[in-house]
Amino acid sequence: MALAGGPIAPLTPPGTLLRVVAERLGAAALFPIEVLGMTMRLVAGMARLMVTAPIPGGNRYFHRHLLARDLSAMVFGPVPIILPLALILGTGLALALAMLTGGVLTLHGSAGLIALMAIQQVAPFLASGLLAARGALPLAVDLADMARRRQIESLGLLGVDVVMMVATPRCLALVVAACAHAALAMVVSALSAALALTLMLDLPRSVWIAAFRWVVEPGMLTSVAAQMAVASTMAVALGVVDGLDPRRRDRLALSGVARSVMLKAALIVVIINMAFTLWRIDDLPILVLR
Amino acid sequence: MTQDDGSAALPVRMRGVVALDGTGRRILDGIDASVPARGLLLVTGSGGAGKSALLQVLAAALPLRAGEIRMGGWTPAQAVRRRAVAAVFQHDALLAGFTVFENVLLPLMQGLGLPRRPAFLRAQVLLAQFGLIDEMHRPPRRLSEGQRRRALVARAMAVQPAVLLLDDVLAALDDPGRALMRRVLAPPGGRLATVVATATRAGDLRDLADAHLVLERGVPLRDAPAIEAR
Repeated sequence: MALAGGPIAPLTPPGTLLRVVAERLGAAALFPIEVLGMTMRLVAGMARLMVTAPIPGGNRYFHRHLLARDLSAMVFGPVPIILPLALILGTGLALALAMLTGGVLTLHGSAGLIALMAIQQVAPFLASGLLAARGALPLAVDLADMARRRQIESLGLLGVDVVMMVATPRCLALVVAACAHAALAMVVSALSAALALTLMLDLPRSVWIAAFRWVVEPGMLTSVAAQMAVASTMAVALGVVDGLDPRRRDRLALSGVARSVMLKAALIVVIINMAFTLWRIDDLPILVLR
Repeated sequence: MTQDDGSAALPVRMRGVVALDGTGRRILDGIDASVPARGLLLVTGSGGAGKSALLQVLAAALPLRAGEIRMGGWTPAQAVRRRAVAAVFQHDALLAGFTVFENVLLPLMQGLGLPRRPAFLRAQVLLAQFGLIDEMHRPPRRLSEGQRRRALVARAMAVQPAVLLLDDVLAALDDPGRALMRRVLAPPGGRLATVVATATRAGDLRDLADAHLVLERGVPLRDAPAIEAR
């Protein structure tokens, strides 16, 4: 029997399969323009907020309110998670590296390597990952819910750019909190690593004090702060872009938004942290030689 | 004709309005309606009739595929750019992180750029008008659904729009709330805005309306009951 009618429409519209695969893999790199554009907007918004927020009587009332709320949530909220994780990672990493390098490197080299990993690499990774999840995920879900309710349009009609109003203070709070938590994680993981080395390997105190002092220098601290700022801003930008994605507004499932943002934010945070890690890894041969 | 500052009410005229949804299906087809400045256009119809879509087209949130809409001399996009339109959509909500007072204050300070003192004063007057002065410092979650809807209308009216779009705002209101909303929509001195309001049934707004549009599956019902001249 012949089938009547025109050509049969494909079951999957062109491009859908690619997007589904990209979302499943968390391939944020496939949507770089929107995320980069939003990152630029957030950077500009944060600069404006930092300049105008302290001015009394300015119309930054709502930004200040949101910034205070977000700062409080971001700075104090993750402390109970950061502290034990930094402690465990610092100790575990110190022991593992000491055992692996004990027969190969000098005492100074081992201590330097452990200090480098515990302070420079692991702590910022931990802080930025945790903060990105805490900041970007709820923001994306909130924005997706607001888009579904058409809150963004109704406030836009009233002259309120709700996206930037909500996202800018969150981003600034995240950058500040990420730097604070990176510092906290660096101190805790360094202390736990030093303690583990002293107890398990009978390393003289002077050796690891010298190693840690060498690793913590202004250039490194600036690099960690930059790492935190870039990772936090891009994670928030990703949360905004994904939360407002118009392609899924009509079939919106908030759990789907959360999953997609989580994967993409994790990927972005890993890429940025890896880039900074590789940039700082040049220190390693010097440490080993010493 | 329109006022330059966009603060005066504007007449709304629609001719052959067509709009499509995301899949290309016609959700509005051949809508003709008009309402004078400061008038009330009541749009009724069952669920899925296209009432919310019509308001979205008027708010320039949904593109017009054919036909023409004029708000005074402006298209919806031009009117929106001039802050002449405000809307309360069907599933709209107050911002959760702020009190009711701050929600009403938001468009005054952020949208209009009013200084703190006059903005605070106007927000308080509006909340008193909507019977929410005792609840003004509560977060939205502590309000009833009817109170939240009233606060949303107060927020929309804060900027004194020329055209006010209200999507099913009476649905969640109890009898005192409906009576209050009727007083707000038909004040003794006359309305300051042209209102386009949707409802599933004409009910409470029928006697206030200057024009009535009945929709069925996106198409106007030609033999709809006319509004008697008041």
